[in-house]
Amino acid sequence: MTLRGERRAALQGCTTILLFILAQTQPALAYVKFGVRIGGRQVTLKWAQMPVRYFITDRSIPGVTASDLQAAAGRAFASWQAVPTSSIAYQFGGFTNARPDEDDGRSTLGFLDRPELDRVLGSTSFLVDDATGALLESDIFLNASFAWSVAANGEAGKFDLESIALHEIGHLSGLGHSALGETELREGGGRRVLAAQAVMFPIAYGAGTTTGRTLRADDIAGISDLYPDGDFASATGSISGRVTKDGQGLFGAHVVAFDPANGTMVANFALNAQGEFSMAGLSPGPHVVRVEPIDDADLDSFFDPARTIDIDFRVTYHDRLVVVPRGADSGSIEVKVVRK
Amino acid sequence: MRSLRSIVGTAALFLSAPHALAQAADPPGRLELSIGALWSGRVPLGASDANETTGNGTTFRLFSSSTELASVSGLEGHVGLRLASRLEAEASGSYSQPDMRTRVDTDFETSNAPLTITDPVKQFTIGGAALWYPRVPRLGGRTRVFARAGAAYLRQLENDGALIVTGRTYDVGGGLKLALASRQAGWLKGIGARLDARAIVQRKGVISDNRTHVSPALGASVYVRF
Repeated sequence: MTLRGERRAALQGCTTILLFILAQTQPALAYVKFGVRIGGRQVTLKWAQMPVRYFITDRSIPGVTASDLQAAAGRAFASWQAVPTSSIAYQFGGFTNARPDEDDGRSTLGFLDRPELDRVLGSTSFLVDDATGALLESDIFLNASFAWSVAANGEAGKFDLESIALHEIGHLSGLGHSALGETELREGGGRRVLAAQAVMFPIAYGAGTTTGRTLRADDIAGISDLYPDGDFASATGSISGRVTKDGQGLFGAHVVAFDPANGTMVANFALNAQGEFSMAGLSPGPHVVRVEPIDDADLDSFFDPARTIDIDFRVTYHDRLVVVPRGADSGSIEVKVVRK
Repeated sequence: MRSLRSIVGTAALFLSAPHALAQAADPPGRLELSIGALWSGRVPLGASDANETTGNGTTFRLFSSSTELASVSGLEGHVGLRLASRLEAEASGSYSQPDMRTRVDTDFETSNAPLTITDPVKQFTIGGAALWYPRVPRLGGRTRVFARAGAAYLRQLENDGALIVTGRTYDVGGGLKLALASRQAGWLKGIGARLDARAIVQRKGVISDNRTHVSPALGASVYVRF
């Protein structure tokens, strides 16, 4: 079974992304994680053994040597590994002649020439154990058709390799896309990112910026939820509930938990027909819950294109502060939205 | 009616005992119990924005918020013990149920804001204080002014105890006690009224910004002395 996530960018700095989750997969009812359905049950896609060993394709492109790629990717892997509440760990296995699209049992990161993918900066694919759902291999390709930079402060007109690698490594680790970002449509198609608050937002910042090198609260909650470490489970809590419209569950609504004490946001989606959602890894205390339609990226960046997503509703706040207990769930809440 | 008549009768008994009116600085009895109402002013808990980050690293405000613990009236009780002529130690406890209120404003995507969303908080304090009675000219023998400084353990229950947080409060202030009746004989030495005004300094609890927050408080209570 394979899954593929792609980060897309348009030419001239316009960036968009699509994330393909093949028909046999379903989003997991928990956080922004990939999920697969095996034997009728939902299984979260994750690595069963640590450290996750990865290899770098021994191929250079103009301006970026294989060693440069290894260094930039190494920094990105280190950023994920440094999350103190997560046990994810990675290990560089060495350079390889293998391409990053070969099912060879090795997780490989490297460049490929894919000029036909004129908006795809990078893509992550998975090899999954059909019996257990465990990840066996995950490859990341970076599109050599774009201009890349490994400069410390970025370079005008070039995409920052570390930033894009950081996003793809999030996929490699099992995270799906976050919708914590705002975009605007560009003339001629595509979207431009106004702002984002998650590395896992599906659309990249424009060329020349290194802003995407920093993990945000949503990313940290996600990786910690997948691979909890230390007192993560006991020190944080969750909010769960339903989003309804006209009394019916609303699939695909974007739910954001905002902690007014520290200004952080963690988000997820209503992931089934009942409109149920769950957000884990939240700091204990009262939270503002805000529900919005997915209108800042292509819907198939998040869901199977076959699913129907209702975006005809207004941004809505839950009418109460929702208290997140330490090590437990808030208890189910219901957020009722109304059509625009 | 019987109980009301009884209370009135007790008060009349005290008031009709002129020989027992306290003229000295020290009222009779060493132990004082009081119970009454305490009004606490709002405690601003700070403001924060739901920010996202633009490509050049600046912030983009999705919406803004400001949070406060609303003003509230609750119950307060004291057990005081006279240690010296002008010094008293007291243990205090209080209960109130303020609303935590977050005002959401300037949402980038909707005009539904501003709006205020709330969470009720059950709040308990238990602590101690020292009361000092200075000499104040021209106050009758029935009225005593005091200064107070105290500290308390704060326990706050959010969402009916789903989350329990603790903190500390410190207070300084003062007030006056008015003896309605007092006597030297018998186990019940006096009754009176007490008014308090304080500045309460709070740390932690539902406040998570590691700053101190100051709010006013006013109390009115009745006391009995033994």
